[in-house]
Amino acid sequence: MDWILIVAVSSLFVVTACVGMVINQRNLIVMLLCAELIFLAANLNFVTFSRLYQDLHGHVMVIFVLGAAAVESAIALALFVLMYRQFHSVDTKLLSSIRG
Amino acid sequence: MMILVWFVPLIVLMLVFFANMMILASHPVRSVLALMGCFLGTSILWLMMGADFLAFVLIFVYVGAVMTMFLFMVMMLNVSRYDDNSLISRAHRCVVLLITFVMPIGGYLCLRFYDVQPVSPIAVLRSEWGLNTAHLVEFSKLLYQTYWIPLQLLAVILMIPMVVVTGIVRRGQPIDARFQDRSKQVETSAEDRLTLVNVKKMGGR
Repeated sequence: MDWILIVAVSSLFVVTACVGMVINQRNLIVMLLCAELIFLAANLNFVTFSRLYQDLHGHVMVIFVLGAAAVESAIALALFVLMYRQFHSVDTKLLSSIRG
Repeated sequence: MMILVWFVPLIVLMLVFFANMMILASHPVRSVLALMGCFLGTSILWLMMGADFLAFVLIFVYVGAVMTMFLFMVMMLNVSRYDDNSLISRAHRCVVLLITFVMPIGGYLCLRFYDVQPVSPIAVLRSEWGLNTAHLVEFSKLLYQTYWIPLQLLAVILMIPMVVVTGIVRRGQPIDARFQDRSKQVETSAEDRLTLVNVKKMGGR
């Protein structure tokens, strides 16, 4: 096993997440999950290259990225709750009715 | 070592499967569970790469707390299956599966064909599964000495959304707490507080 396999997996995560965002563009929850997958791909790369170059700064960055991802998901879920309370759905089509 | 050689591609295939399942699932709960599978597979890879602490953080904090919150929210919102006119058709699913499986395997084989053979640090990881925790000390020093200000900032950044989210969700909701209205208290009179009833007139003995 070498690092190319891991980098291939992380790039696959990004591609899958982008494809998922396109084919699930009606559903906000899955779009948020795709964003989480991109964060995971970034973390995987950080750890892999940290190991490759024997530099632990990458591990520290993973902690920060995990924090950012947790914050993002918490706020997004709160907004989904608001949206569901308003429209009884999390369909992106309904967002077009918001007029400030 | 033989187990390692076959174990890692298995984990990678598992990751690919879960990533595909996440975007192709017909129900959001299944998508969240598939993402949990991705996190678990990644943490196994991190354990093999010697990033023990991060692997456990990923499992305990991320899968155990954040993804559980995700699952709870999805179940609470009771988002049913997607509509029939969803963009995901059977043909779409086949194409996506094909692309996401064939592309990485093809890329990997191409790299092998051109003999791109980098150093393989992961193959000798963990010094043959021996426990070496020296890097944890270095990691702690880095986190709590070099990066202690960003770490404190991260803690603040994590706390602010907690307040903001509570505010967002409670917005527009009636406040449950009871308050005193002083003007009403001042304007009150004895008649409001006490009503005398003649029991005999009302038919009592």
